[in-house]
Amino acid sequence: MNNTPFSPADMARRRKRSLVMALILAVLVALFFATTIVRIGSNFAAMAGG
Amino acid sequence: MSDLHLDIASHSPVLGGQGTAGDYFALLKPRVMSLVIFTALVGIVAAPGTLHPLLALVALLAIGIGAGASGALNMWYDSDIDAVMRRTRSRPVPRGAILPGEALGFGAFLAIASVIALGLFVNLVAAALLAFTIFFYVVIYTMWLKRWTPQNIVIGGAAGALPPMIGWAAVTGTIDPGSISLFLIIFMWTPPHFWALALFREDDYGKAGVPMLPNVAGRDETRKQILLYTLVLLPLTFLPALLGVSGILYVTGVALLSAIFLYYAINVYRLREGAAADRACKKLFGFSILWLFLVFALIPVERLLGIASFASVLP
Repeated sequence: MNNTPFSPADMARRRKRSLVMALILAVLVALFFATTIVRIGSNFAAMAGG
Repeated sequence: MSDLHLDIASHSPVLGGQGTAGDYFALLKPRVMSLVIFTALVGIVAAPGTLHPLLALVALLAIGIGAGASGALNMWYDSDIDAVMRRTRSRPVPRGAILPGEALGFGAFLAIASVIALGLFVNLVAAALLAFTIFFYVVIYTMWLKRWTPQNIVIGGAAGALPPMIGWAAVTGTIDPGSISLFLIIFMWTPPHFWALALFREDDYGKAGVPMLPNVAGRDETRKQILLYTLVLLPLTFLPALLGVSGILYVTGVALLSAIFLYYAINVYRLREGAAADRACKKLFGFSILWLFLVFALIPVERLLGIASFASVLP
């Protein structure tokens, strides 16, 4: 007996949704990392400038 | 299929977790979100000063997600009236694809995350403006004004008018007359735009019990108000030029576009019976979207073409 409360079609839909979410999260992590580098860089530049 | 599946299938809307990625994307009101991102971009371009392209991208993303979060929270709260209206009954919550609680959780998370991201990566003024925009749209407009007063979209329009100010603040960290002039254009544009829609969707709003101006004050009064608001809006559109935000191309383009807007508004006022009246409302509604897009597009186009704003040519 299948113990999952969702049908195979539901499970496929949820798997696809999870993949989309993982992809979005990966892009956000990369974007926020790059943004942090930019911000740190500008802070260093400001400190060096006096 | 097992008995368990049969049992669960009959209760699936209660169980939740049925929404696809597309359903969640629809919760963000992508068309509204794209207009918000566009007007915020114009705010970034129009503001004096510069912003690192990556920070500008993050700012636009946060503003867009914040706007989307407002849309999701609006769909959570309004799912009862959305189910009644023809225009909104296929949205994910009334359709049963997403539970109201899921929409609430999704919207609340994105709202908080977008404000924190804007505050951490850009600046606190922009983040505070974004938080205020979400609060104003969800609490002041959706929960309070929308079901209470026919002035709902007049006051509630402030939420839709704030994105260029947020974009501007992302660059300068301040609220300036120039950014307020961009706010005022969208603020005064909202009533004629939505009342034109309400005139040909009056029955829809009436069925849902939403007090739009045509159901409360009548169609003739709405037509008069559309014309009056248009007459106030059009001179305001020149304010960015007077404040040195834009230049001669903007003034020329806005003069032309505003003449067409006025023509359509006069038609709505003049044509009151039959299919011609309906057509006039639909034309004003459609053109008002194009008008806003083109008026705001003129500012970045000027920058791209290197046309000086009046700020740099005036003494």
